[in-house]
Amino acid sequence: MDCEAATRTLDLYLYGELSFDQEQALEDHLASCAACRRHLDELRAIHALLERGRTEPPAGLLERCRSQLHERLQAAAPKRSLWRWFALRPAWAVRLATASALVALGFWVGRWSTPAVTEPPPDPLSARIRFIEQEPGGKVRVSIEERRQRTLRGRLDEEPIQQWLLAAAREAADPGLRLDSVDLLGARAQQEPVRRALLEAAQHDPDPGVRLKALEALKPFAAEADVRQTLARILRSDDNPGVRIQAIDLLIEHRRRDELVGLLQEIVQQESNDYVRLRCRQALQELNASVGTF
Amino acid sequence: MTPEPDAAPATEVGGVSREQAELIRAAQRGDQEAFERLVRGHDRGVLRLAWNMLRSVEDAQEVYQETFLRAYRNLSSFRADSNFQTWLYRIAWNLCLDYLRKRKTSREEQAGGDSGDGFRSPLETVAEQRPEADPERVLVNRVAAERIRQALERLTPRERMVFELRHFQGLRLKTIGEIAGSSEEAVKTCLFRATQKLRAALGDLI
Repeated sequence: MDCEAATRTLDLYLYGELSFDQEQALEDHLASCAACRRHLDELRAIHALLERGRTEPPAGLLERCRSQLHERLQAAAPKRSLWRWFALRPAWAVRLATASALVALGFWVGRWSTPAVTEPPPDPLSARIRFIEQEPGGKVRVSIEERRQRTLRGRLDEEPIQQWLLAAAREAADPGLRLDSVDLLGARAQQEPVRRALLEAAQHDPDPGVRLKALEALKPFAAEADVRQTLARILRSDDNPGVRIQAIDLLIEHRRRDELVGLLQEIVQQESNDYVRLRCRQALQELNASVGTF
Repeated sequence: MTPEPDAAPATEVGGVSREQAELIRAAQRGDQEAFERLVRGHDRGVLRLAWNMLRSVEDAQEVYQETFLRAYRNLSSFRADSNFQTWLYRIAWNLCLDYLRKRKTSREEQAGGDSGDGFRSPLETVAEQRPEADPERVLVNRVAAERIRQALERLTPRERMVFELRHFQGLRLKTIGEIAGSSEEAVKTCLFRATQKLRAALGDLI
């Protein structure tokens, strides 16, 4: 095997897609070719780098998809599933037959006194036609998907409300909604799922206002290890000076000298914003520590 | 990190487990419950594919729904000796490509269109999706995130799909060929081109 052939098979080697013979030939070549070994190491590093791009769909999305599919399947095949359901439950079939007879009687009586009621046309902005089917007897079946607004009311400690707030804090496209959700969830920050959502928002929300709100909600827990680790990460990587200042303020509230001095000295060396650097210097003075490392 | 396996058939008969074959037969007879059980064996992978390709909750949801509704409507044409997962992925593959092409066209129509299209790279969103993961492992820095986003975006839709299915979902190239309706050799070439491009774009980050 020459270098050109080896180059074309290195990826397949890493993915385990080579035959035994091909693998053997490549390994023989690698044993004697430093350039191809370097190339392989480089590819391994690229694979490792790209691993960080591995993602999962947002939490709850799979369940929402399944539930929506269930509804659509039922809409798509109502007759079949209904007959099958009744075939398995004959007692219900009798009950339904009785009820249907009563409804039919009522309808027949009603026809004498009231005009036929027509379904209002769908709003084209909120409705979407899924399919149209011609049925025996000259009828047409139109299946429409409509988006409906729902309103939920409940206390913050009630499960459905909290779940929606958590979802909104993570997924809402509108930063205002995320801000309100984070603000409300702040009152429940002692609960694990809420804490996770707040830590996540504090680090990764695209809007600095939401990140600051999440930090504010985490303030009572600034002594706890997971929060302090997050604060240190924010201080090192957040691109907003206001958020970095807030992280310093929360960290310094609990004067853990051993933990803070090295971090603050590191920030003083690296920080590009004058005010953040100044705040770090002040914090170091409050801790009776020097600004530089010696 | 290994991809989470989807359907885990106990006894394989021609690429389909006995239990799965029974569910397919029941679903073909109109048993919706059986169809939904079949869906649950494969839908995580389909959603993951749609999500990673399209990076939009709405589009991923649409691809998920359309994939399984099409499968349900065309179940009678599914041959018992075929691989159900491959069949589903083929539907999802075509839908994702359609979405990506439409998106490309719409971007081209927007003169001077920039990244304000709602698309977010894996690294921009990863920590939001996986709060349990160590952010330092996930997100080295914003510069690297931007570079990886750009590198993945520069791949053609087919290269991205092949890369996603091989690298992130761990499917064999032979299976990817069946999904894409291409030969295994063509898929190998596509993967080679994708990794060459990624290497050229990201080589200085390693």
